[in-house]
Amino acid sequence: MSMVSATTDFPRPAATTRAPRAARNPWKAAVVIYAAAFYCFLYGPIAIIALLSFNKSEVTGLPFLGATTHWYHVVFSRPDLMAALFNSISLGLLSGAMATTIAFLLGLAFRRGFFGQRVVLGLVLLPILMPGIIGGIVLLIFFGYLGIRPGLYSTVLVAHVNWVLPFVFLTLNARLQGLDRAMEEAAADLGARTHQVMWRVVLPIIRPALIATLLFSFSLSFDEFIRTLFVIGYDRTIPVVFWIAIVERLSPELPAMAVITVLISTAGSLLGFAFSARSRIKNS
Amino acid sequence: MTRPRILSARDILEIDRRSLIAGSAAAGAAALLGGVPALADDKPVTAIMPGPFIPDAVRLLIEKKAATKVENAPYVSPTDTLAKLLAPGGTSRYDLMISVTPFVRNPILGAKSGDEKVAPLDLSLIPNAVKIMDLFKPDIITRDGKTYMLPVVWGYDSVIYNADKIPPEDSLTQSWGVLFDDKYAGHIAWRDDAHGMILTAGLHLGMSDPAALSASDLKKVTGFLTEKKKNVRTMWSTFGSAVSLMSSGEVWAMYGWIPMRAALQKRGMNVTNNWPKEGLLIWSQGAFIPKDSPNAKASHAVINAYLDTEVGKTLAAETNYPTTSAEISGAFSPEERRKLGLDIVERGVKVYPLKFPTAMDQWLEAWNTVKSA
Repeated sequence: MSMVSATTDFPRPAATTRAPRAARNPWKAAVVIYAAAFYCFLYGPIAIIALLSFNKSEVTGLPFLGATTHWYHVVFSRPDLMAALFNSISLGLLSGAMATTIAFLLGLAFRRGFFGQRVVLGLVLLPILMPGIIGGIVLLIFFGYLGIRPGLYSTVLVAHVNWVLPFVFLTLNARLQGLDRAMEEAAADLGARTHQVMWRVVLPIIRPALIATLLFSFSLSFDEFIRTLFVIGYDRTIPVVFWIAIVERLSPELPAMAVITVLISTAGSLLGFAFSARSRIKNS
Repeated sequence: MTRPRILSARDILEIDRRSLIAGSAAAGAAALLGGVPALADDKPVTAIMPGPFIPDAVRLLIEKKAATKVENAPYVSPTDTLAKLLAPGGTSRYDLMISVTPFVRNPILGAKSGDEKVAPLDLSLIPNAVKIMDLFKPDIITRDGKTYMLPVVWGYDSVIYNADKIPPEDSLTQSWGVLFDDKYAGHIAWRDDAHGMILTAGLHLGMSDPAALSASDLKKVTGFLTEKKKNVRTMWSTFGSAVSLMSSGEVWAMYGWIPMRAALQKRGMNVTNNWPKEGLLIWSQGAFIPKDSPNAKASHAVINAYLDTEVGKTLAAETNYPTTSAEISGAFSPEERRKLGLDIVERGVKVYPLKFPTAMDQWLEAWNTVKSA
């Protein structure tokens, strides 16, 4: 009987060698610093405005003289600011709804294809290519020829739809182009009529994209200034109120108003992203 | 501040219904009578004018005296005002405009008689026009015996300075030189504006008519500004930034406007303006009615209201901007008149009107040279 000897040569595990320490990448630190500086540059002014909105000082600027929410009370107690906020929100929703509807119908047409499609595409995208001030002048002349006086739900609404439509179309068209025709054909094969295919098949599938587009267009419309300035009359939108406050007077409540505006605009964009992501997940 | 305006759906429907009735009545009345639309007097006066000329207290007074509402669109600049007037449909889109007299004078009149873009004023509807100060009677714009524009508000540009840092009695303080001299280097601010800065530099250099600079004089002024730019802390381009510069103590003196002085004094600062010995830059803003305005009668009433004594007093008290009515001076004490500048004629303050140069493009180029130096 052989005994296992202490000296039996069990296969020894290979001498463990420690994994070499990963070489420190000097560029990683540089990238981190660059990114940090980039984000500071991008968001630093917004952070400072938010800080100043709580500043007790009557003057917009440093030094910080103490914390207060007084300026927010001032904002909410000013009827002209609240009116402008209402105007901006209602314009945003209306122009978003109109632009989304137009873009949806255009997208369906582009999906089918038609003569002159490229020309129409160029015309739809033209407002993006034109500088804002040129767009404003064009609209001023256009309404002048038609004899239409400045008005919030006439000239300004048209200007906003004109501005947001290209963005809405580009977003929605991509989604519609990716829609599988087999679903519609299957529905038709099962006896669904055209309007039923649209209502029960197409719309439910792209609903998240429609909502996301509506919210994006709301944000765009809410922030629109330069074209509005050319065609607005007595009514005011938030960007116009801001501009008047800066050029004509000193308004210490301006940072507070800015924070509220950024929050509304950001909320619209974030909701849009959320619906857009949900749409992608649902259809992947 | 503008009046609040929240439109409900009912308002929109009401406006549409009213517009439809107005349009139908207008068409019918015009067909029968060939006259003015029947409901014109119910319409508010759609105006373009600087916002500081119609603070809430003044708006209430004007609307009461003129028996009409005034709805003012955002005022951008004299250039924008002209653009909106001269664009297609511009002569009927607005009912009243108020802008810088020397700038708008020629474009609104056009090259020759018959080219006017504005309606002749019926002075029988503006009885307060007789109150216009002698100093601004040259700014009453006429052609062929008809009056087209009346100066309604006036003001001046000067140096706004902190009297705690800069002694008022100093001869340098009472000149445009305070913006250029090395004495206050690093504590002055210029306005980022070719017109105002070149005029003030020209006045300081002793040119009697800086609006009519020759090419060599313009070069001299440009060189002077370039040399003195090292003393400038910064240049401002908006009301808010200018007031912030002074209130934070960053600058002690700057090229400034009347309401800046008022805003800073309201905040308890010992800020005042100087009366430059080389010449105070004075200007007037004139009111005119686009020629196809459907609401001309109401516009006349608004112009008349601006020249009313009570309105003038209120505007001067609210914003420090005086109207051109000679009667408002009597409503203030001698000290207030001096502070507001209502007594510049009595005191013999040298003035220079804010004339526009014919070669503004060269001035803009010169100013860009200064800024990029």
